[in-house]
Amino acid sequence: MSSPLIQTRGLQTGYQTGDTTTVTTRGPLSLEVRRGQLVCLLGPNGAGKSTLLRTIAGLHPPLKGNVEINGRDIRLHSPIQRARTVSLVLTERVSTHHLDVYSLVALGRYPWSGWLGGLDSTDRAAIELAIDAAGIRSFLDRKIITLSDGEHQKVMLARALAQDTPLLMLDEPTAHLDLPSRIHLMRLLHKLAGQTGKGVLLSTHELELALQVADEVWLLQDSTTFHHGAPEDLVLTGAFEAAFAHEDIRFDKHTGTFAIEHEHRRPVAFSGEGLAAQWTLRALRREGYFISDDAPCSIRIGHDGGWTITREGRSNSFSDISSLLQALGKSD
Amino acid sequence: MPGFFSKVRLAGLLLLLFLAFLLDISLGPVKIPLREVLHILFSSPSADSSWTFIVGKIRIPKALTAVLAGCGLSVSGLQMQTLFRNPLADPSVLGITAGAGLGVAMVMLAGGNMATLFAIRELGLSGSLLITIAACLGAGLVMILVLILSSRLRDNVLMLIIGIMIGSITISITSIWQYFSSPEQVKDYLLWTFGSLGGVTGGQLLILGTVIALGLIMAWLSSKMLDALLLGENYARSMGLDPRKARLVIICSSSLLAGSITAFCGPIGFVGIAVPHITRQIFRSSDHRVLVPGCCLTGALLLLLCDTLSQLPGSPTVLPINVITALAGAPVVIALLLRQKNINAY
Repeated sequence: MSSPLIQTRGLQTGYQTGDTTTVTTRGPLSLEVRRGQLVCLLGPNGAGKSTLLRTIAGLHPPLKGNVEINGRDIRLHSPIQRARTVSLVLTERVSTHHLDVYSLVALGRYPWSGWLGGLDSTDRAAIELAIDAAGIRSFLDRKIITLSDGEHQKVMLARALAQDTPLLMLDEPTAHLDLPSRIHLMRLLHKLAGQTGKGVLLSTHELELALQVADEVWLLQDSTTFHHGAPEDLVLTGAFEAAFAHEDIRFDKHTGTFAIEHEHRRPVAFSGEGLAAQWTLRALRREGYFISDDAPCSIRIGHDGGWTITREGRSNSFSDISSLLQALGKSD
Repeated sequence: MPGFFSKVRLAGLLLLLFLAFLLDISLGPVKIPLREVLHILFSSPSADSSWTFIVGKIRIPKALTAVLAGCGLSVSGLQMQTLFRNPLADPSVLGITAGAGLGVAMVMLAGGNMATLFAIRELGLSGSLLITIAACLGAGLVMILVLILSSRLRDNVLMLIIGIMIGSITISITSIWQYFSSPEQVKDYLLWTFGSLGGVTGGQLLILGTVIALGLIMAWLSSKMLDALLLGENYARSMGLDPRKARLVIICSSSLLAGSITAFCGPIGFVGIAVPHITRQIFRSSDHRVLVPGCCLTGALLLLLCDTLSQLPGSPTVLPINVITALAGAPVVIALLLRQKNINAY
């Protein structure tokens, strides 16, 4: 195994305002990110994800313990050395008038370029590479303020890639993105980690996506509870379920998905097979039914594709799920 | 480095600047033919020795002062707007200008100190070396205070608020002095606050030129940091910017520029806030390696034109420069800003 890119020793994070100290993560945390690894930092809102991320990036001082790059405390590195090791994508939007996409990506070369910001051929090559990796070549001339959230996120990613650091950290990169963009971004980061050997650490709310791409998950439940390990292990130990425990939500260990829990569940009997059966079950679950063989009402999917409700000896047929649910609702 | 588009515009501005310079030195209360002015400009004395004196000793130094003040105030304003990410910031936000005013007030309103008053009356208001020294001291003291505070702060927004507070305190002290002074003394002080480009000659011009050059070089060297600061302090730090060092360099150069100009010319308003906006519109760029020279040229051009206007061509009256800068400049800025959709995104 390669040596870690970054590691924390006995880390406790939080912030100090005057005489008050607010601990966001009690720790002590001993964590590490290695080359080629994609680590997802998960946790509910307000659990301290951003503070932890900013502390690891060296933007925020730890309360206790330290963060080390190449075995040396991050605070002992010069700002330039640090910027050559860790690049960041933050949640804030850049809204500078007249700043175009290429110039912004080029700013990523800050820790490498000359002292007036002049770019040499190495810098230009790195910028080109970053532009292609993030897939933003089609709007290089646009001004930053005209970009959509998704485009903006890609541009900020390209800027971080141009910084050419072994470690890439992203704070909620999938926020504000639509589903295809979220999946695209996660796949891109997964690919980057695998192909370029970069270490990627990102915080996200996308549990289901994280389960599919993360090599390791850091699960921040609250200020005192922290789990880390392979995502599958965390599912099996129940850590996942505990972290997001809520009366309205249930984590399905079999599918790795969350389901909305209903307060009053009603029984219904069901028989049927195939894809139609699967989606009918989903619809029933959504409406708050659970399957029970001795329910007074039963649903059957016929071979011809229609749905039949049988209740107290009387049967009604329906041609789609929508009308089926309507009829069920009325009869309750 | 500046692209082709920017280079053409820089060259165009340079040409306009040269023309404005000629216009400024050929107009004035005394009519002098343009041929004679050109003659004197290229160092051959005119037949009329009073013309040589007027052009060589009054008009050229005044135009040069306008160029220096235009460059310095505009670049200082640009730096403040970027550092504080605030489109309303200008050279006065750090209180340096107010500090210079306090220095001047201390000398002028020193409570009937006859020697001081004699010196002012005798040497003329703006030409008084004493006043310049007092203003330098006032600006310098506030600048040192601001620099000490800036090295202790983490946040640029706090720095902005503290700078404005220091300015307010300084203005209050000046007001107390005014309150207890005689109307004549207050009028003298008031005249100083109108600003004046005249009266900076010879050795003083050399000193002003050297300080401005120093400030501009520092500003040019800080352009990479200013570019990074456009993305906000967090991103700037993540890219390797040392926020305290950046703040120190930027504030140092900005106060040298604003402080020295206020000391020699009085508080010239408006240029520092308006020119950066005009320059961004002209170059459609946020690259400070373009904007710093761009602000220099635009600022110098604007102040030369204002100076030409202030002499009210064709009349012997000369209006204070401060009156003209805002009167002529503000409509330009309003027109430019109305053309852009998002005024808040500077």
